[in-house]
Amino acid sequence: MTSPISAFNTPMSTNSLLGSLQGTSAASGQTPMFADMLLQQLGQVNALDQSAQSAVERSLSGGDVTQVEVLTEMKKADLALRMMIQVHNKIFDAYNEIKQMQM
Amino acid sequence: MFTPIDVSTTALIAERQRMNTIADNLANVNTTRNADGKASAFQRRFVTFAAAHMEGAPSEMDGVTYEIHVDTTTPPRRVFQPGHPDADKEGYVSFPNIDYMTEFVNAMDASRAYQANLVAIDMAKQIDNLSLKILA
Amino acid sequence: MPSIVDGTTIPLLEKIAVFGERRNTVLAANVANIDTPNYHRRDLPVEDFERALREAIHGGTARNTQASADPAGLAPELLQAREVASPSLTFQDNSNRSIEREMMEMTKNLSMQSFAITLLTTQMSMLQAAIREQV
Repeated sequence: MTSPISAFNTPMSTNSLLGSLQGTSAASGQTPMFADMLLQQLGQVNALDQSAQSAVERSLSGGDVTQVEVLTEMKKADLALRMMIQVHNKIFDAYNEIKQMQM
Repeated sequence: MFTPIDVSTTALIAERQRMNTIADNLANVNTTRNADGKASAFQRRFVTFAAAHMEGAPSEMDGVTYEIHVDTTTPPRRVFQPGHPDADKEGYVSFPNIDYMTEFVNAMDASRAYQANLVAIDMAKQIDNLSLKILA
Repeated sequence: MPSIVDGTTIPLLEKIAVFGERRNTVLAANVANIDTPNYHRRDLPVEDFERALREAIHGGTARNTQASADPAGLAPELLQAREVASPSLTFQDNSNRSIEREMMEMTKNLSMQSFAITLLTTQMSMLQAAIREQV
């Protein structure tokens, strides 16, 4: 019987970021590339941002959205963006550190 | 998004109107003349409520509307007072068909409904304030 | 669509908060119509919602469910208010309203909602602190 509530995702489930990466890598037989993970994260940030925008628009134009939904969508978009910025910073720092290694 | 507050506000308006009608009745409990000066007993007014659809909300969330009616079916109180200027040919004066006890009980009812709706609005405001903290 | 909040309890709490907010409106309509003749009390299906929540939590990864337009993932039938027969004093018009019962239901609903929203806020700030590496 299908549940009226959509399933919850755990970190290793096929729907989560890590899980889907492992799924695709298992399918194609290669180890997951870091670049793929970054691209996926970018897509995720974009999707969350769009969903937050549309929630705000719907609520302010008198649509049938609850306040909680709008606020959580915005917060999730905010967190995803911050996460991506931090990841970018870490990669950048790692790159710099490697560059400065004396050969 | 603010539908719960709208719904409770319609109830506040309706109950307030009910209180006003009751106050009107009590003020005129002994009025034997109408505004033109003719001998005519004041007739009791009462308010009826009906569920009203709120626009922009799903149909299950109904507010309240009210209508004011004049009570023409209850006969006026006839008291034998031959010396009264508004007495009719047999010496009876028609006093308004208003009963203190009925009006007081209705007033208590309207007052508690008003308070309950105030509490409902307060609850809605509390949740709104709490959920704003999600963003902070 | 994988999301950064997967693996936390945030999706669960979000569903509870959304359901609670909709139920609050229905209960407010009940209170507003406390003196309306021939009005029967309405409510959202709470047991169905709780059962669906339990199934979603235990079913977890293996289940693919029907798509719903609501971003929080609640099917529309859970948000449909129905007339409920609740035990109460009977009035002349055979309605089943009681202002005490409505206020009690509203208070319970409010408590559940505050609880869910407070937990949600805490989880969000924990996640944010982890991302910023700053408490």
